[in-house]
Amino acid sequence: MGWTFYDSSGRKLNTTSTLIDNLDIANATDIGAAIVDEDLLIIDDGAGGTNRKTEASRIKTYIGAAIAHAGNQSTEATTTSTSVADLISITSLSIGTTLPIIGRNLHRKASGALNQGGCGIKVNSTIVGTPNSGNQSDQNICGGNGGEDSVASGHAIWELTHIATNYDRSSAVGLYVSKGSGFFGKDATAKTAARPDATTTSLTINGISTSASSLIGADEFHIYTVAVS
Amino acid sequence: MLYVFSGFPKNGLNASGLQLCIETVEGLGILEHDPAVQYRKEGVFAANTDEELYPLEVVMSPSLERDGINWDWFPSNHAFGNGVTIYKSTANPDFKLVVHGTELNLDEFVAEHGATSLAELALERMHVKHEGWQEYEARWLPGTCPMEAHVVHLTWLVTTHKLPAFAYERIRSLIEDGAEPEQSEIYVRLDEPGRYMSVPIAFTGVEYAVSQHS
Repeated sequence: MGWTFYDSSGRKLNTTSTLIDNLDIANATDIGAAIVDEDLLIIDDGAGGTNRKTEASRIKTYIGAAIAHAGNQSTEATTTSTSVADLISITSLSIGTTLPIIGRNLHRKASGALNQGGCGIKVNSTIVGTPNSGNQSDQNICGGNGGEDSVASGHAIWELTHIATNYDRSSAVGLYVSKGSGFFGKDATAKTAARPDATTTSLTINGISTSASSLIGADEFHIYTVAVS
Repeated sequence: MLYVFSGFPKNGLNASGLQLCIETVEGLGILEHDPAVQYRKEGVFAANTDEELYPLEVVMSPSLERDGINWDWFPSNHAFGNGVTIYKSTANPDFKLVVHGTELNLDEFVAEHGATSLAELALERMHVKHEGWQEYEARWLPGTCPMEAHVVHLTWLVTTHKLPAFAYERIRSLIEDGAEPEQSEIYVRLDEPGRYMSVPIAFTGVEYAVSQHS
């Protein structure tokens, strides 16, 4: 005994081919949950008329899994590097030279043999502040001397001034608050180089530690521009 | 040797934890810790100088190419340092609400065309591909740059010698698959939770503010 199928509009469905406009999607029950990897979708393989099923997980691969790898989660940037390493970048910017840039970031050190470390700032490919592990370094936006096995953290607020004739722009000047053993206990005065006289397209916080047995961490890097007269 | 992997360790290890795992707990390799050695995009240099020490050797995880990232993704003067680093990079496209068929927002449209009935207008969201965005998009393999706010995580490490295949695969699995490290209790320090582990946080993609494009 054969079966005859009809859609919700009473149209007879062909057993060999069914037009997609026969599907009544609007009146279907909503999935009622987030799409997960195992959900199935219909796909016309190569637009050749051969319909196949595919798991939703394949879409993540197709569109690029850099984001999926993180599971829509983020984590702090950390390093054990004893030479300067880039930690966090904010990219895709287009900030003109007439605009000051204000930045803020968190930073920390863990216990271990590390007692000194620092974070600097890079504008595009120019290092404006070289992270330096010296206690009294004036190249850092944050950094300084702690003590072996001490745990310390703080946050910094700093400004890269705009390009103004006759006014100095050779440093990122700011302040920061620290907690624990005096680490990151010096004013932010990164002044390795001047802010480039070009559109700022990226900003990077870099870091260094004096001992690979511990780490420097940075997170919550935000930047803002402000209007000038 | 510089090894670059996609993402950050999903098992929660931070740079210090991953280093402990590689060098001490599982004995997978020896990391470069000489403060005089700095890996950069352009080569291996004496730290903070342009004196090149030796040629750069890099292994990029196959996952990176799938993500759209190859060596060209890194900008000039990118610093890898030495040891272990867990890095992140954020990008946020600028959008502008414009009158359909123009690049003018409502205010600009009215200023140019005078009083206009809203019923005659359609609005659309336009991605402003300014200089910074074009530069960023060009770093990705064609067609792979995400067009929404996003964060890219990378983990890299510098070793003194080439890793054997089993060690490479184990490290790749620890980072990209979130494989459980051996003796995982070692990394949990109740007196200092951040010593070897980092806490994952939610990323909304809108937590930094830069918009200067009209």
